[in-house]
Amino acid sequence: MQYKPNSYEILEAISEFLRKDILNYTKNDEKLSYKTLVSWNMINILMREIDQEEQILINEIHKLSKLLNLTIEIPLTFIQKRERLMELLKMLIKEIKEKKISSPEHPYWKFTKELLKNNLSISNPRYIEK
Amino acid sequence: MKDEFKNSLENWLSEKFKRQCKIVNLNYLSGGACLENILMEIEFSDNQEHLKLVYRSDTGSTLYASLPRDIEFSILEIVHKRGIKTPRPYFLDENKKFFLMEAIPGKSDVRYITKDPSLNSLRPHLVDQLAENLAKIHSISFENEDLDFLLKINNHKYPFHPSQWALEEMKREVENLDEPHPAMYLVLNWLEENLPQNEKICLVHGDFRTGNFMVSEKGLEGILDWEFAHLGNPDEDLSWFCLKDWRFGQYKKEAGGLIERKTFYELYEKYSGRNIDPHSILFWEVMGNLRWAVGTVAQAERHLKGKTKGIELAAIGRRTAEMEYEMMRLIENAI
Repeated sequence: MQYKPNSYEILEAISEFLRKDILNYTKNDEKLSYKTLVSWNMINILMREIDQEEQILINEIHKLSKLLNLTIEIPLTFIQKRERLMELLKMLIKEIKEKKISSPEHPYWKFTKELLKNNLSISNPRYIEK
Repeated sequence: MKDEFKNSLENWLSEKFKRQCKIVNLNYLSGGACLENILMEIEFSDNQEHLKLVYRSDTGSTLYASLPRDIEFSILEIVHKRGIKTPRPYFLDENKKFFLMEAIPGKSDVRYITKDPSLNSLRPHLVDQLAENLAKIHSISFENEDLDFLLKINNHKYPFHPSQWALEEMKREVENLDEPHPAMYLVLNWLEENLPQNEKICLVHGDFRTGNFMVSEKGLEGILDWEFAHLGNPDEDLSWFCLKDWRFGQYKKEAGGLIERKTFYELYEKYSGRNIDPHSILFWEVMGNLRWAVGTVAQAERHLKGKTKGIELAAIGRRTAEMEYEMMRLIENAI
């Protein structure tokens, strides 16, 4: 078992270091500055992921299993949750292909859009506003 | 560049120019998707005249749709001959691994082109030049040029249906992805139901966007990166230029982050003599977002498979959802 600080807190410290120390230092080197900015952004994404992803996975497993008329148990570990969702998504894709679903009015479309909103809430929260 | 290779290149250039020359300056430039570009300055021994060239070659991690160097060189020769603003091609290596072209002035930096205040009064003129040159590119077709070599690259028979071909290609690409992307399958179904009809077939740049042309205080200096050029529907270029991801933060200026889409399309129509079909544009913009979404997965894979490791490539994989969201939004707004 790892002691404090936890993963989120360490990432937060790295994020601050990149923002306050490194970004300023690299501002005269365009390539290095860009890589540092990308790295800083990715650290912030990881922080949001640690904070929100597991609950998002649980919600998505619930909703998709209901949409596919399945009774699913929510697995215990994070990795198992992710794998379960991937299995369900493959079933969804099979349905989309077989039934040739293409309408924005279809529940599968609406669910998929919500999946993407959840994804973007972590990877780029401001994207939907732009 | 290692001394041995530099010496051998100098000898080769001297032979090609039929004049003794040496490389006096070298500068590695940021490449196209997977190519190496080196700016080199040569000096001719007879009169100390200087000439700047760009050396362009493969790096070994080519993307699936990237043309071989000899084909790209042939296209460069055709478009340059037609008066399209692009670097003059000089010489192709006999082993077809690299070519030399004119180094043109200006910058391709997107922040400079879309946001720098020094270009504020120039941008309308730049957009006019882009529309004119794009219309010239699209005027190149089987009616006026031997383009058989481009048919052979993709195993096409003329005539063919560009949107159908693009759809089949995307279906194959999406099926090969490791992770499930339901948005891509929904959109593939929509694309299949909305194929444009009576398509014009001509030369298409394939990656016509801000970042792939050089701009100076005088305006457009040249269109770059012909590695994805192919025969296709010209609306593919028109919509790619307007993709949300190529606006670089200038979201209301849909045409390349430079100007409203309507203005750009009106200019293009004036120069091309062709009326743009909004349905076809929608198809190709949705297709463009799908293509780039698949492209972001491929870029991340280059990092994950160790071909070209780097944080920028790794991070791109977390952007796929943006293009997926945008392609669904386009379809929803059209209905």
